[in-house]
Amino acid sequence: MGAVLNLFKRPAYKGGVEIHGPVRPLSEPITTLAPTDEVVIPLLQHIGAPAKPVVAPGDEVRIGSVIGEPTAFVSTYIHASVAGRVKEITTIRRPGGATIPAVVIETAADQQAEPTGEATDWRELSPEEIRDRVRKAGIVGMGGAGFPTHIKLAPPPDKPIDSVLVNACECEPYLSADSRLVIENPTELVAGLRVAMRAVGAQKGYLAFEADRLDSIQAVRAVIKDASDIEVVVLPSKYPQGSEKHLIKSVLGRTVPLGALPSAVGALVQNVATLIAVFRAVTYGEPVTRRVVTVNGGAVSKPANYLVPIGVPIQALLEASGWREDECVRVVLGGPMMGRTASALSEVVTKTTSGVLALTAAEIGSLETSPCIRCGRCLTACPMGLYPGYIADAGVAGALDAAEKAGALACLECGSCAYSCPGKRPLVQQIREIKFKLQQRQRERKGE
Amino acid sequence: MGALVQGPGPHIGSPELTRTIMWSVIIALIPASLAGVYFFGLTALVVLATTSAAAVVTEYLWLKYVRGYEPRPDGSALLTGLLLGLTLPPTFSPVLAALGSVVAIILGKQVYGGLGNNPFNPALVGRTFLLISFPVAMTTWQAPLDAVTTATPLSLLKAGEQLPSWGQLFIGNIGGSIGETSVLALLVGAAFLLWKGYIDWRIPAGVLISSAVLGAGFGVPVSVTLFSGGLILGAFFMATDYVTSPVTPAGRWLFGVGIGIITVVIRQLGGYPEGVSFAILLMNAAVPLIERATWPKPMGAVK
Repeated sequence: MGAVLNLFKRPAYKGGVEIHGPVRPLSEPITTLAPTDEVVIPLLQHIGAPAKPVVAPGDEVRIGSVIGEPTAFVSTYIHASVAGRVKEITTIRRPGGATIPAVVIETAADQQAEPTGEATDWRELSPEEIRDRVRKAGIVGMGGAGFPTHIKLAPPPDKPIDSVLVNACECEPYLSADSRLVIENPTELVAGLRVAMRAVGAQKGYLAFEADRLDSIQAVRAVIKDASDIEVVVLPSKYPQGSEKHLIKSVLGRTVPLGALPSAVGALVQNVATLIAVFRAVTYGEPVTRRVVTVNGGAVSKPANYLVPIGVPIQALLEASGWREDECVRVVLGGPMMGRTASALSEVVTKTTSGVLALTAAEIGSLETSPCIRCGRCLTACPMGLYPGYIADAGVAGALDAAEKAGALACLECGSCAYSCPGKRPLVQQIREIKFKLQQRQRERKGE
Repeated sequence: MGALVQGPGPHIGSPELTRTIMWSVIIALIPASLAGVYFFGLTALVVLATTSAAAVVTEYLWLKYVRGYEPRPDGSALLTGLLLGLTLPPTFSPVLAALGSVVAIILGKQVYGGLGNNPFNPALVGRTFLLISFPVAMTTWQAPLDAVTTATPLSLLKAGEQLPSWGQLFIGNIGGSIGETSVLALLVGAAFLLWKGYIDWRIPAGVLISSAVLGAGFGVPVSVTLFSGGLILGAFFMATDYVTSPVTPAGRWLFGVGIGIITVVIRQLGGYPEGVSFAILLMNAAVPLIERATWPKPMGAVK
């Protein structure tokens, strides 16, 4: 279906790959998952500084009680996702080795939420009030980046934002949490978009979809009707259509300069789940305590979208979906292209967990690497216009200058190159290593 | 069990592997091979079998005893051997044919470090070695469906004699190398590779357009330029070799156009009746320059 529809949509950017993933759990309604007996809520689920715990063992909390407060400008609030008693403040290891504080809560039988006041009409709130409510609700980019949303909603005064884009592409295969949210909450999404437009002073809002998300498109069109401030844009189903830069290029025709933020071209991109959270925070004062997670992959018998309390271990989600452990060779958090492998089944759902994938050997495919045959697939697949194979070679050879000149730092790590490579070279990993070295060198040079 | 195995993303990949592509090209050469055997008989089959087997064995022995590891067959040596065989005369000596494969694999490929590292098309290195070392054997042509010797269309052209018809050229009912004569069979295989996306259309398009135009400028009919002398075999199956052609899309155009021009220049002005092999090898040498000139520019690069 997507391929046929693509014929009518001219891609606005070169590169990218068409991935024919498995069926997404898109037609089934979102299922609410009950909390586990114990939840572990990390105090760092965002980019920036960890929150500091403001509860002690023994404290009683309700759903939505503040348990962590920001410690720096780039940081945010963390809330209890269940009602219960704080068991301990512990530390957990993050991938990469750093440890972060986490609050362990024993779930009570009676799940009470913090009382919320009267519903507020967001039209009566100033941009400052909107940002303050978003900050208090602990909202971060829920697409995976986790950048605190209240900061994104405060653009620098010299870079006015004229357009807010909703990234409803969900271009990673396997995932459908956002697409399902659009179908079930189109009114809240459209209102959330208008809240964001008000916060940054933008006149125009866009909802960008991949062409095959017909139900989602229909749902928002029914809400928008003939309003002129918001436009629905239908884009080709091509990975990585949901990349911020490529979305802006496709929707607005503007190119974000290398090294610059979208605000440089007057654009702000927000994720579907984030904007729904913004609407609920601004209207009801509701913090982020749950999110929708797609559980999918060949090693689960019931792929589904779950509404899950933050802090629930991924094991609970996998078991709810009929996980076949013996067939599963990799558990991935996030999408299959940019997600990372889980290090333990006790890893928990955070504000940025879009998916939990249980993949089989057949899905992962061959891991056998063979030499580069210069087929050029990585070059044609790269949405940033790079030659990934060359950059990776330069990296392996330690040729930092050559890699930098070839644009290594522009790499999004989207994985289109490695996906396409017939030699199954670990291109993303190799480029990530050279990027790390280049960034380190830049810091050293600045320090001198 | 192994659910918590760590690994870098992406966690899924395209099912196309190097060996899938190599084997697809081999399959795409089957029609041309069959046509060659049909027109020229069992001796052609002997040549093809010899070059293929010799290439595979040479590569296996080299990797195992010189490089010192157990080779994983990827189809590339078989492809080189088959391609070399298709460029040889149907009655060519099997011993010399095998020698050509040894040269193709060792001097054309392995001395540079093996798969992916050779600057020149290995099959053409082998063919050129044979052409220069054994010029008479390499230019003794058999008439199709007959055991008498004949001339190729291009040598007839050079001698100013009567040329075969358009239809004969297309079907392959003419003198020439085993795999170069049947345009129809070659195009069937080429269409398969284009459909699979395993070869880039830009390279053959560049070769065909430039050679047809320049050939016409010299007064050669377009059908003779395109359908004779291995141009189709070279344009679709040899110039498109990934390892020895540019990776950039614009570079592939330049590469193809260069091959077309050099081919016609050799045919019209050079001492040899045929120039496709030399044209491809010369453009192989130009690949690094072409890539430098057509290097991609990152999206959003600040000028």
